Amino acid sequence: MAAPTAGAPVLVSGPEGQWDEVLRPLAARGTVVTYGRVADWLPEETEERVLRPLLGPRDWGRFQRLSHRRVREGFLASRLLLKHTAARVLASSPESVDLAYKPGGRPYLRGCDQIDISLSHTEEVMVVGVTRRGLLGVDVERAERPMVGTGVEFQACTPHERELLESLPERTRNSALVRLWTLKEAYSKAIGQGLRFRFTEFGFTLDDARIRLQRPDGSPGTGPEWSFGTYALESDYVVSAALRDEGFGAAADTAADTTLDQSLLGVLLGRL
Amino acid sequence: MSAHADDTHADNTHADNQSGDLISAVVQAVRRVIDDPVAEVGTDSLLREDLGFDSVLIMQLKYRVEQAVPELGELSLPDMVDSMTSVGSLVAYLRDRLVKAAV
Amino acid sequence: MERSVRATTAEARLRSRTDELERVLAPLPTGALAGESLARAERLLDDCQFGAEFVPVEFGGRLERIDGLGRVVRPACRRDLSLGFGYGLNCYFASTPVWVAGDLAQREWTAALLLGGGRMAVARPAVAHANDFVRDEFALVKDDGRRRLDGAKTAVLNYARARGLTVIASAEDGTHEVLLIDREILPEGALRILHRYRTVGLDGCEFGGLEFAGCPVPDEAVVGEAGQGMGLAVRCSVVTRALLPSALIAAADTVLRTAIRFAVETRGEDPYGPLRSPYGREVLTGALLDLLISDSIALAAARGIHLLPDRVSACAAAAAYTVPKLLQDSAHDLSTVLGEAYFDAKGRYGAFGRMVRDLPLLAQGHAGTAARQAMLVAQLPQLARESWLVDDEPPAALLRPWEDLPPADLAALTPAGSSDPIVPVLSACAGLGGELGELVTAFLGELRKLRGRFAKITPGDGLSTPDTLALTDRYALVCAAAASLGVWREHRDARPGTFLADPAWITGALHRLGALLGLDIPKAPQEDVERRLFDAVLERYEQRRSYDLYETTLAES
Repeated sequence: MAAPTAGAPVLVSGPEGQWDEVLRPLAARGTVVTYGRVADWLPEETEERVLRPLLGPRDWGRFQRLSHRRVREGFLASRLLLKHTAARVLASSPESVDLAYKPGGRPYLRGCDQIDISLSHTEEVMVVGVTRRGLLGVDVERAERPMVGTGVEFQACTPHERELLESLPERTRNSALVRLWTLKEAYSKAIGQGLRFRFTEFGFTLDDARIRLQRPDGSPGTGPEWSFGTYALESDYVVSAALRDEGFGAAADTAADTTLDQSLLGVLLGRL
Repeated sequence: MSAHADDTHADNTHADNQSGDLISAVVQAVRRVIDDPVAEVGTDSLLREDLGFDSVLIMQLKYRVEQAVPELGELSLPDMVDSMTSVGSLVAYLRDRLVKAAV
Repeated sequence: MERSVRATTAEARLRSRTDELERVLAPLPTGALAGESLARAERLLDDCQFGAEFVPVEFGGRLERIDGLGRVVRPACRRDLSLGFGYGLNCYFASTPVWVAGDLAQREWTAALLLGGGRMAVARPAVAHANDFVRDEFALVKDDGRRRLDGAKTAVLNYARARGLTVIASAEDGTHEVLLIDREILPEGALRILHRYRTVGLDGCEFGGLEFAGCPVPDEAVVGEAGQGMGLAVRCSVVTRALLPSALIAAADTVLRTAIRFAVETRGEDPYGPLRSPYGREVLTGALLDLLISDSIALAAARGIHLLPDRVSACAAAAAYTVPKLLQDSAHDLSTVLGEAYFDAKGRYGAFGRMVRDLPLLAQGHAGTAARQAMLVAQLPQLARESWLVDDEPPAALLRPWEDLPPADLAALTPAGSSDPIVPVLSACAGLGGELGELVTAFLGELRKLRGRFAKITPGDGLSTPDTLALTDRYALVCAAAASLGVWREHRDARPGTFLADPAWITGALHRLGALLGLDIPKAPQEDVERRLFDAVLERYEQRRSYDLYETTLAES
């Protein structure tokens, strides 16, 4: 049986966007990746009264310390996309979702482990992944971002991948490297490690039919619980997703207000 | 590391000189990675918050620093990534590596 | 005097039994049991009457203490969770309704079955936010005063081979009944074995489907008071939640040991290798701290069943909620130590990846979380208003693993308590000076905030919102801090000179929990604290002592 994949990213153009298009694949496949444009998600009101409850105290503090305009906008817009997406999936409000971070920086929804989340943004595009199957990492890059010749191929590729890249015609080499990079980021983010898991310790095939994680020598790496996908986004960007299915089967309900079983609560509250 | 022949540095200790060279090497590497030769970069510049670094740029910076300061040898990203918050904290990490490499 | 002699004897019995199991299992490889090697391991356990661990002493077994049971299953769990949990501890989980509320005949039958090497299996009810393991349930139909069982369930552990089944079935009126069923006396065709349910993790565990068709249920099969099955299941879950962390701790021990082994054997001289680089050392000491924190809250929960049965449930739920998260996260962090070897499916380091796959299944994923959160939110508003920062601290024996305990009165367990079993330890430690004192102050500040938030919640209303669920996560971390602090203090007072009496580990532990809570504390503990902890990680590896509170000597495998 083929592992469930993340599926192509779904555009959400703002808090009042097409959420049915997000919730439907999540219900069907257990995973959805949304994306948005920074400009669409920058709020009109930016005063503390509005933003602080939306971002929460930690991210509000971080936001205030950002001086680089593009970084500031990307930070704000991506947190809003993430919080609104999570709120829709949990059938709740963005203010009541507690977006927390592990000490290594991995984001998660405190107290709501029915879904795992991942976030990435680059320039004007940001991507949010949501799964109820286990662990998920997503990454987005501009498809034409120069990487060949910047040291990335030495720093981030396995010997097997470098051979693969060298075998490609020069005009496709950079885009192949960008794809490999996003796959590596996606996997490493899924296991909460970011740049701490050396990118030279694992590689990927670029076989469109089924992308596989490989060891540096090209032999098989992860087991059947992992699946990987890369998707072109409006031809300018490339998105990758790494998904671990923990094997609990499909649980369709992700709403927060149904988390606690009523007959259990009845017993616990002494009503039965 | 090249020694300064400049008279204004003549009374600096050797260590200060090395330190100044390391700072300027890192600043140059940062400017090259963000492709802005005149960017305002100082030791208190924050890589992510002020200069817009992301993980690709972090990895490129490691490469450029290794190229510019060969005495460092090959660096370890998992080890240095926590120090890559500001130019100054990165310099402090690298200085520590140089001391350890010399022992 | 006589008291202390008896106390050391109970502890000595426990130690000699874990040593014996360690020796018996020594020839087995770690983390790679499957097929024939798993069957051989099961026979080894049968030969030393492992089933007796799940039977209370008054029924001829060896079970004296719940915390003792948590320790005795670790040698098997360290080797393989399909063995220690699937073949072992789950039999006790399945039999808990009998020990909590069964009549004499049911207890004697269950004892005889387990003492004879037989298996017990449990079919749990369907709950909200279910997964494949708890989605479907059996139905109990009543006709003319006669009961019969119908329906199918997808994934029951030991579905094909357990003779004893505890079935929690739903009746038409919405109530539940716990039933004890001997499958060998069922009429032909009443129970059908469906296909096996294959899992990626715990792949040595035999999960599979069962289907009842008009199966007659005699009155004597009903466990406890008729119509009160859900209440009984909830009270049993206090016991299973106190024990589950032990299986996870044993697995995480193997995970850390395998990572250290890799570091020592392949990267020992590498200046950027995990033994020399700050990040590698941080990850390795962090994993030890997570294990000690986990074992501390597991200890409070397990001993609380003996000492505080009417209020231990919050602590047990917090333990089962937070331990899987701590240990899965530190396993992922340790993957950076192994690098490429993380993908090994077998061989010297293969146990690592295998255990990492097993952990989420053992923790039962979100369905497990949700049930533990229900137990917490049902009582935290009241504890916030009436107990936190007011109540006296628990008895010292709660956190002194070497002290004897009164027999557990499982019938006295309650689903929810009216005073907190563990967080008063924080207030009692308020006077500590130095870095540790500052950390305790930060946790007390968090508890005060939690009290403010929970006190506003009306019991029963607004419980299932993301913000309230997030508060249960915070409470569980505070609870873990209090238990750890208590374990350290009892050792400092009564076992000076031991590793657990050293402030290094508790300082490191509170830093780690504080970071997860986002408390305003300095990031890393001082260098000498970290050095002492790292030395302990290496020393326990070299001297083959377990990474938990007990430093059990491990057999060479």
